[in-house]
Amino acid sequence: MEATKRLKISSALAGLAGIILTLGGLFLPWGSMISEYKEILIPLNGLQATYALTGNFYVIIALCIGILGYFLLLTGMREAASAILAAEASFFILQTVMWLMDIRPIPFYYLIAHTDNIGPYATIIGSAFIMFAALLSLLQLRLSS
Amino acid sequence: MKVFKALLVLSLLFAFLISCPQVLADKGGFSPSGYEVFESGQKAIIAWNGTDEILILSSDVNSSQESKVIEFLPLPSNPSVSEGEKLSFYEVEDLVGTYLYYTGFRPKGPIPLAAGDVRKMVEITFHEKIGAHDLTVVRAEDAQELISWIEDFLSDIEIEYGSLPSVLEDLFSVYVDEGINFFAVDVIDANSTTRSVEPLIYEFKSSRLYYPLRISTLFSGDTDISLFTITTRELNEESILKGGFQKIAQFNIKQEALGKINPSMAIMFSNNPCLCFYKYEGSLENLKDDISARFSFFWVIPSIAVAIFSSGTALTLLLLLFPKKRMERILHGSH
Repeated sequence: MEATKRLKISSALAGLAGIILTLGGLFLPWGSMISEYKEILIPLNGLQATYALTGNFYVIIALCIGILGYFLLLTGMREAASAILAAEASFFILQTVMWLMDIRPIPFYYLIAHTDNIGPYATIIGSAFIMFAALLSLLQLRLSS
Repeated sequence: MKVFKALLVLSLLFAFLISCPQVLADKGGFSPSGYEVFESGQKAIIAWNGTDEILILSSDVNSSQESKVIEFLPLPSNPSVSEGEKLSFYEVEDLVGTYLYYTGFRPKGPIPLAAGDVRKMVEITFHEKIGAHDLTVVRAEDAQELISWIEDFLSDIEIEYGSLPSVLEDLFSVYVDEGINFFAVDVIDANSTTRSVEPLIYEFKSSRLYYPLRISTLFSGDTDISLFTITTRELNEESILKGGFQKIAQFNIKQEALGKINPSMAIMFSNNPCLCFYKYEGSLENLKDDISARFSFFWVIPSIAVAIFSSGTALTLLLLLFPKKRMERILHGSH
């Protein structure tokens, strides 16, 4: 199999795995937050944790960037789409690492009790796959041009 | 085509792994005078960490006539028994009520709880008067011997009785056959007014969360059971839900909250344990099985799924990006 075709298939595979893991990460548990009662811990999934990390505004921006990336991909502008998706994935990795390291510079709405769960790891691995897919796609474009 | 097959297999494996997802106490009893005894409500807090169980149990008992009531509680190992406090139920009720309020399921306020001598085969391991209870714990190896002991016991404490319930021996036989050899025999006073009997705390070793329900069929009528389980992590709820219980709430609580429920519970857990609230409303006759639950394996499934899926994808990518010949060259050196 020629190199460009292998890169294309690898990119598609990594992208698919990345999407499955990142979407899974949104519904898997990320940790729990302390209620106002202080003794009850309310479980948080990825959606709630992402909201807790970045707030509504940033979630909408991240969603828009993601949609734009896939729109560019569908219209054949693969180079721009790859760059946008790689940046988006980097943003997700950075946010998730901040969650795991308990660093929250952005306005924060919840008091987090603990953050040790599978959700953030699924998101980090998924985003890494998406970033890798985008880089492979760029490489494949360079080789084929 | 091969790539699509590999993707399909990986996706199916992931979907399968994602889709794939057992504690032991309720009393039963009878009136030696042959009057009907009703148990309109039970409340129990069960804390289990995998090896030890603390059971705080309170029941609401009344009898058609004023009489003594003999209650039995089968247990898997020799318990230590002490007096409990109703405050434990208020604390746990407060936690569940706050959780339900916080999650928007109900208005703030209290949650409505349920109307609240050595022989060869039978050995007394504990006897003490605790508040309204005259409690004796016996170890029995044979149901018939246990029945004989109960008859002697009733004579010794000068309680006149007609005949023991016919189902008693069958129930004891089932428990003894299942390896449940310890029976707490409690003598309380009951009359036509329903009242909550002061809770007792049973602490015993158990490799599963155990709550005996089948013994309740000795009582008559309908009942409301409020069951609170506090466990290290989530339970496999199959044996609880199939018995007709409804799960009302599940959440984690901080270790600090345990001390308020019961001081012994605070040293049982090293993490923030999972608290579940289950409710049963219905006939006592329908309680055919005991609750016997172990930890759920569901919590490890997502971790395993993510690990297998990620490593599978990474391996496939590696094989795709580095074809066989190049891999051989890397592994064996370039020639």
